[in-house]
Parts: sequence; C-alpha cells; structure tokens
Amino acid sequence: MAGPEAKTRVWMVLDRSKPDAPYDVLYADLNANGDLREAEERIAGETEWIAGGGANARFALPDFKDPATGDKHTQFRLEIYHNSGRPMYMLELKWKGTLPMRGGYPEDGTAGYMRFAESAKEAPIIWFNGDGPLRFQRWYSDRLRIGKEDDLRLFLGQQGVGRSTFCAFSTHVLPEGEVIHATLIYSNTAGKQQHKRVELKERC
Amino acid sequence: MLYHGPVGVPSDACPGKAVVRVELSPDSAFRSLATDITVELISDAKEEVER
Repeated sequence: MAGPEAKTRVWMVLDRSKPDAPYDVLYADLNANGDLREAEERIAGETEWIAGGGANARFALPDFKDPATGDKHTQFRLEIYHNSGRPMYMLELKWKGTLPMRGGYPEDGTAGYMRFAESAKEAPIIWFNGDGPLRFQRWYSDRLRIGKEDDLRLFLGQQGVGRSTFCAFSTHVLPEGEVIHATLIYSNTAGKQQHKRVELKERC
Repeated sequence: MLYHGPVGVPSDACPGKAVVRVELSPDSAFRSLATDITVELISDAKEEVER
C-alpha cells in the first residue's frame, strides 16, 4: 500500500522463469489497477544461488508514481536474501525521491523478516507512507530490568499488516537534537499505575 | 536508522507486562501517533539466573 490514506495497492507476485530456477521473476502492479499481466509489470531479477540451498535475488523496479497522489517514489526495489538459511524479503523505495524507506522488519531478528505468502489472503502488507502520521516499532528491547536502565531501540515509520511488516525510514529523518518522548506505564508494588517520562536522545 | 536511549525502571515496579508509549514532540516537522510498545519488566535477579 502507499500514500497517507493507503488508497493505492500494488500487488506483487514472485514466479520462476522455469521449473528449476529460483524466484527470478516479479510481477508488480505498478499502476495499481489490479492487473499484473501488463508487459511492463514483469520484472526479471538478478539471482545468485547460495550454499545450503535457496537463492538471493534483487529486483529493480521502475520509479513508482502513486496514481492516488501523483507523488513519484524512486529506487523501488525488492531484495531476497538469506540470514542463517532463512529467506528475508525487504521492499524499499525513496519516498518522494528523498527519504529512503525499507519494509519487512520484525520486532527482533530472531522472529524472521517478512516473507511472501502462498495466497493473497495471507499476503503480508507493507505500507509506504513517509508523510505520517508516523508510528514506532521496537527493535529487540522487549525486556527491561527493574531497578536498572536498559536501552530501548525504535524504528520510525509505518506498521503494515501481518508478521514482520514494519516499514521504517532507513536514514535518520529527524533533525539532530530532536528527541523521542517515551512514557513507561507500569504498576508498582502497591498496585498503582505509574507513569515515568524519559527522552530518547540517541540514534544509530 | 534506530532511535534509542536508556529507560530506567523504578525499583518499586511489579514484574510483568508494561507499556512504553512513544511519540514525537508536537513541535516536530513530522506528525506521529502515540505508539504503545509492550515490554516485559523483569527482576534483575531473574535476568542473572537466565544468563
């Protein structure tokens, strides 16, 4: 999906050019008309078999002009690569030609990155929307120790639908010095809800 | 591309689920929706045992 109102839907389907090939063909509904059979919407990928099975692949798509907003997004790509033998799918583009975004992040790496599904009903949905309003997703940081300080790490971007579908800016878009406000909401030993505010000032 | 920083958990916090609500400043050039990040508060002793 793309755009502030997620009106544009670009379906993608992976295929093989021959039975013994890896996924090396991508059909992408670039004009968002629901028809993936148009000639310019068949994209051949660069593939490379890897040791242990599977193949990495890279599909370079044309610039994407959102029919709903008229905005043009550049450097549109789908990459398939492997981490510890598991395929990972990352979809990326430069929002309005300026802000790089990547979709397919889990909350932590052990959960596995986005994968294409076997059917449209189960398909993961990535939402490219660099205009906001923006949301957050943690990166690891799922446990905090009582009486201690632990690092909370966050992506900034948009939540998709399905497992591992967060779409994050892959550059620091916030000006230097701008902080993220965080409020820890917890129960104390007396059973009362408490709020503790902190500012997240670091970036990496 | 990650934003981060230390979050201190007071000593009187109960172990279990908690929430960290995160958002950008109203003065930011970007708009954000407050997002609730679910976390597990654990006793430091438990962490040491698991390690």
